[in-house]
Amino acid sequence: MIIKNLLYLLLFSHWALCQNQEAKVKKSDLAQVELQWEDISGAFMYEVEIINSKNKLLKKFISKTSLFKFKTTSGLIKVRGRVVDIYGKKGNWSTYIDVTVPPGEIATPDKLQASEIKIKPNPKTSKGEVKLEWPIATQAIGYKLIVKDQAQKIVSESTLKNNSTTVFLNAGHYTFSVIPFGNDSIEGKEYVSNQKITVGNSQLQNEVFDVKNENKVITISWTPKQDIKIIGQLQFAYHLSDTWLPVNDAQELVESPWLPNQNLKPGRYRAAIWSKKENWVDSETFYYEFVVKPTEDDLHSN
Amino acid sequence: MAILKIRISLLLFFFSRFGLGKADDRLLYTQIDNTKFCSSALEFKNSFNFLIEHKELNITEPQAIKTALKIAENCTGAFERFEKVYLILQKSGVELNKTVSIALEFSSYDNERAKNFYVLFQKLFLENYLDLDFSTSFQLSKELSKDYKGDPVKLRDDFVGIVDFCRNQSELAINKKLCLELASNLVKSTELYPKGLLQDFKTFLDYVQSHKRLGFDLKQNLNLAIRVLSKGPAAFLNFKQAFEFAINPDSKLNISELQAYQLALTLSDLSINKNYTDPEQTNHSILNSKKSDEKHP
Repeated sequence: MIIKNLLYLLLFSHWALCQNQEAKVKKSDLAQVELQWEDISGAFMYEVEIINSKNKLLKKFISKTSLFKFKTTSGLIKVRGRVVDIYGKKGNWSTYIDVTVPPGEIATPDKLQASEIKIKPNPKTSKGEVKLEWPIATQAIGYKLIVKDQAQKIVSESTLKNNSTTVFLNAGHYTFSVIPFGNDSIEGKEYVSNQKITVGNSQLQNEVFDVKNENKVITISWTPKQDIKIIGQLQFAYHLSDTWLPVNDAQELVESPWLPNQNLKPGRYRAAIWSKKENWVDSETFYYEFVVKPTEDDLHSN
Repeated sequence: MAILKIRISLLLFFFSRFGLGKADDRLLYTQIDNTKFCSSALEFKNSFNFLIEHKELNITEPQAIKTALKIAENCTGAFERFEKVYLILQKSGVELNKTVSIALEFSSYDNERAKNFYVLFQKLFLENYLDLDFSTSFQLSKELSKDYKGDPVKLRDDFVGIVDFCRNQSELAINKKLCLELASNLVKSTELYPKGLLQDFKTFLDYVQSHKRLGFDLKQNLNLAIRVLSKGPAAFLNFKQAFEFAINPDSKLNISELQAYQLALTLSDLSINKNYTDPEQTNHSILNSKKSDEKHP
């Protein structure tokens, strides 16, 4: 039987780097398939028939040689052929040969090679919103996106229709790769992006501190929140100097309010206060500046 | 004799440095009263001791000697000026190096100018007086002391007197901001008054406040005082006489109280003689011109 003697060789030559995003596939975007049949003596031509996985006829053509060249969409196709002799008499069809046509490769554009994505996280969610994009693979009907952390552990895996998406990542360093897939879920070559993704530690939102200065007594109060520590430090600066010196070590303020100005020598002071939470960047520091003045007696005492 | 005194002083200085006990050196360091000459040794000794005893300065002996010499260069009274300014600023929380350099600068001015600085600074900075921020207090004190061209004593007495008067609960008891504005504006005219303007201010204010025909509020009266007193010691008298004349029913002027007030104000504005030249200054210029003629006949 012809089919038994059939040897075939599939060669795929894909499209040039094509960025066309039209819904209809251009002829030039189709995958080029070359199929080599064993030469059969007495064969003048070959009739070739191609159907898709749903048995829909895709193409039927006459090839003058045993190397069948045609263009087709990605996916699983079935190819059969028969001999046509010099008198035009056709032989029996061979059985269908299953051929897998993957989508094209994703080409790495030069400009993305060395780039790095640095993202600040959202202080409310502590996750960084990362927009990822990669070049289109022709004949791909979708993409499988894989995001890995520094330890190569997969942190996000998703199937997408488009060549861009947004992922939300915790603080850390990441890389990503994309596998295009065509019809019948036939996967193409994995594209590993050289772009590094860095999501910074998320910063705590600034607390609201209420300051009251009544009768020279300063009180700074706040609303306590679970898991959030309030840290305070009193700082001193001489008049005519811009250098702030710590009066004491920064310490957790267990109770609200804080009364920073007790028994202080004259000079400039500022109460520095901020919030802290494990695995979070400290909130911005809130400063309240005040001056302690000497009394007339202070100035005239020895 | 003077050489002998200096030798003895030096010996004593060295003995005290080498731990032979503090000698009673009051007789050795007698103050030189003649302003033509300086008690430089006394100034040096007091300054050096002060700098060494003030541990917060963390000053080395060579540094103390260098600074004490600089103070001594400023002649008799320099240490006292240095000390007063230093202590006021240090106790107010000023950076120590800056305190030393400012005190050193003030040690080079005369006593009254230095006194203006540390007295007025207190009035401006302390909470029970004007309670201004440090920078404003410091700048104003400098302007009213080292930068002041007139008589510092008159200025100080006026400024302090006005601040005390306007902050005193039994007197004006006006707010600090208004008090500062009043004092700053009034002292601009201090130089026109041979004995300062404090008493004239009080008398004028008493007059306008108590006059039944002048119905202004306190703030308006204070502004009026600033304007009238800025025209010199005769302005109050002119204002008063003009107003009394204008409202007197026997006078032939038939004007309203407001017009009488405006007339009084106009006449008080004319209290300074525009064509007046100071005879002392004139004599001085004549002398100078004579000297110049002698040099260049």
